[in-house]
Amino acid sequence: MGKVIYLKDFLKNQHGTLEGKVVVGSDVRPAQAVNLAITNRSLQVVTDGFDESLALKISENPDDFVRDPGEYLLGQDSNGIGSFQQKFFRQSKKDDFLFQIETYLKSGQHRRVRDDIYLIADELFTNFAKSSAEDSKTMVFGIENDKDTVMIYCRDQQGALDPHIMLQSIQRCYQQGVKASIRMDSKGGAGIGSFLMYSVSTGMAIIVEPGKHSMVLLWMPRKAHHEDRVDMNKNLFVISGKGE
Amino acid sequence: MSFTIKKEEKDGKPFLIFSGAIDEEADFPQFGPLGPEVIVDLKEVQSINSVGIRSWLIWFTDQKETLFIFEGCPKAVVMQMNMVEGFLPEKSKVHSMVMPFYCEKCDKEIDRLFEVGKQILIQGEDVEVKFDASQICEPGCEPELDINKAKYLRFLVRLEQQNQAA
Ligand SMILES: [Zn+2]
Repeated sequence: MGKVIYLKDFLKNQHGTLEGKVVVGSDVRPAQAVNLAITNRSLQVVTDGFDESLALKISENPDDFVRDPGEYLLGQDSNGIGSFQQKFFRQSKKDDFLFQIETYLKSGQHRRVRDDIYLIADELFTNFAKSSAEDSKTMVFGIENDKDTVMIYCRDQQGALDPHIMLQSIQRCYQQGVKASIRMDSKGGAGIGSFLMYSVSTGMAIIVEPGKHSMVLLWMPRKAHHEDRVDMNKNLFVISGKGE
Repeated sequence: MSFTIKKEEKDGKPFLIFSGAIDEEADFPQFGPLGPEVIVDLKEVQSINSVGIRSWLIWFTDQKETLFIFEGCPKAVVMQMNMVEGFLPEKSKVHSMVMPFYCEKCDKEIDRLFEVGKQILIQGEDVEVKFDASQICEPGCEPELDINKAKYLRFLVRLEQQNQAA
């Protein structure tokens, strides 16, 4: 069995595992992609014309992908059209962090994705600051775009993030609705935060190598309206190492 | 800007003015029973995050008997009204909301407050937005609504159906 597998073939045969595979399906709904990622610890669900060979390349070079995701997801010719990067620590003030982002997003070119990027920045800051083990550890937040796509990422060098917790929160929102999920979410909004980020994007990657790095990355078409993006299928990459 | 709710009176009804960022710092005050009808002005709400959504849902759930009439709903809140089912309290009406326009000629974003039943018309599943494009930007400009109208107003269609069924 190769590394790239078509979901409809897999569903017909129903044997083997999707663990570590690039799973291609033309109409994998967002909730289904999350379910697949929960049953198989590590996999990439590729849908709606995302280049499967690119997904394969990412799965073979996760470290490199974490270092420079734009190299993979953004067009070569238009690299560097827009980019923003900001470092923060567990103790950093969120207001200051968000103010920088708000300023960066003022430009009219971001108008259709502005509110969603702002929300994602807020959620990622909270998620990463919470999972950070030490005050001194640096986390990096970035926004990069080419003419079609914008990607938003956050990474650390600790690898403390648990992809499973994020995925389960998203699944709960799909299965029970946001309102019911909130009742079970005693820790605050972190659970629905993951759901919101996933919903407004067309791609999400969670890459974790314990002791080495964690990265959560979202990407979306810059020119699509929020309300259209929410209805679009999602690419979901979960690459989770076992650590040493 | 930190979140506040100011309580005033308008047309003999309680009038709540929400402003700022609805997030983990947002403190929703307990006013006790608010009465049968309350107007909520959201114009000054800047953003809402997941923790803010949680506080919002809990606060409104505690006010089951009240009909809330929302005014000035900004885009960040409309997004959640569409995405989070149950975001609007069980008994609610939307009086007015922000409609975002974009003028390509001037490269300018323009927000306009439109009223439901006046510029925004909902009929069954159909939505219509009435405006005079020549009045939105500069003379000679033709700004366009910068949204997917049917989907942006989907929550109003649902609300209308819900209110008719009630
Ligand atoms: Zn103009």
